[in-house]
Amino acid sequence: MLEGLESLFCSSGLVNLTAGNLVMLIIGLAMLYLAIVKKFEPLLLVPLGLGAILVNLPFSGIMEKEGLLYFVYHAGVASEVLPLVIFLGVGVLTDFGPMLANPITLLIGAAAQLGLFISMMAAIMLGFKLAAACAIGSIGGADGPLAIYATARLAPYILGPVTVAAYSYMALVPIIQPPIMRLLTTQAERKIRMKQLRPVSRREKILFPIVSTVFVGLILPSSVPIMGMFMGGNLLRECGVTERLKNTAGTALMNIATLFLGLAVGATMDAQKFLRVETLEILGLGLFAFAVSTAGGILFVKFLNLIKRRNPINPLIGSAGVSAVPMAARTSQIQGQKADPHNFLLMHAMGPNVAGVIGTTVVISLFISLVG
Amino acid sequence: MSVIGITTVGIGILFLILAALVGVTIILGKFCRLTEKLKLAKTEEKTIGKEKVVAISSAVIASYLSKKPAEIMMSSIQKISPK
Repeated sequence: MLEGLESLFCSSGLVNLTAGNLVMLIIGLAMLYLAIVKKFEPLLLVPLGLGAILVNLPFSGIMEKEGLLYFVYHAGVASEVLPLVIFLGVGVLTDFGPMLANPITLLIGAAAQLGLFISMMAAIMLGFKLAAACAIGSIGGADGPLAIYATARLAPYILGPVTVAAYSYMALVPIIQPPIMRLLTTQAERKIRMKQLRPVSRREKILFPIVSTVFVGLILPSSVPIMGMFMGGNLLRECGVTERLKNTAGTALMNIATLFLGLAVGATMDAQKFLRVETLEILGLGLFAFAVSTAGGILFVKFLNLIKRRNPINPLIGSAGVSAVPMAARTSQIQGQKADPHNFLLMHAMGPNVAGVIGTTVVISLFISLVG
Repeated sequence: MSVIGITTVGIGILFLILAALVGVTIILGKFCRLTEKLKLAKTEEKTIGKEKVVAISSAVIASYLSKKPAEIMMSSIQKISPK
């Protein structure tokens, strides 16, 4: 009997818990704390933290062959299905109206992708392989599902750190962006009032997702899965005849995908893979990418204002080009109102904000075409 | 492809695609507004046509019932089409 008890004790997690596991359990608990108490991206950080805790309990077998999360990871993340399903839901929740009313904002969305390229180059300098460097650069797009999609395709072994970095910085938009915005703009620029946007017809909103998917898909075929799902979701929203599909894609389906994606990605964060110097480098590079993208958007608007003197654009909306819908647009609005309490920039900032999603889609598709 | 190559080609293609998309969006917007204007004009024409028929019929009935048929007819026609 004693022997039995001894063997049970030896096979328990208490004896086999390593220092690395303990650190990862603390990191998992910290994620839960940030999500539950501080309300930082709770929809993703709760399943992510839970996955990290489960996989670091010794002998849990949850991420070993035939384990639950092993199956979910391979069926949903490695196959790239779950990020794309989430993207369908993102399309349902996106309103292209402000961007269609002011199409020049598409270029602001392009300029705000600068961080992806610069951080990719910085990652190469730090010794990362090209594919991994591109995946790290994708953090600068500030779009969680897209960063996961790119990393699962290009460098699955750094999926955990890239996901944590992408979602952390998305949640920290109101803290990271304002100092950069204030540094790169003058008080007079922050006070610029923009003309009211024209109303956009339903026909225009229906035609845009179809035309843009076909157009971008013909030029860049690797963009079809992402653009197709994103614009497909938007078409469900705008066409007005698929109410049930729209509701499912934007709520239940998206929630199921987010839950399993969070759990599966969290389960990739076992101590051996996560506790490395590389992880800290990825977190640092992600922050750098995010800051450069913010600066890229703002500086491009200032450049546009040199040409467009008659009807200037408030440079604060440039920072919204980093996707992170709608936090980045809200940050532009708050900063604008600090300079002029009667200035309403939210709808103007939504243009570059949704254009940023298209920009990130194009860049990631390019990375996949050139490197993947 | 080298890192510099990927960056240069990437930024170039990104701006090219999104600039083309700006053009597509502008054309799409103009096309939609034009078709809506045409549709609106057709609807107005139809409405005006119906209004004219109603007005002329009422004028005819009124002139038939009243003592000054010619005057009523003339004023109604002038109201409908001043030229």
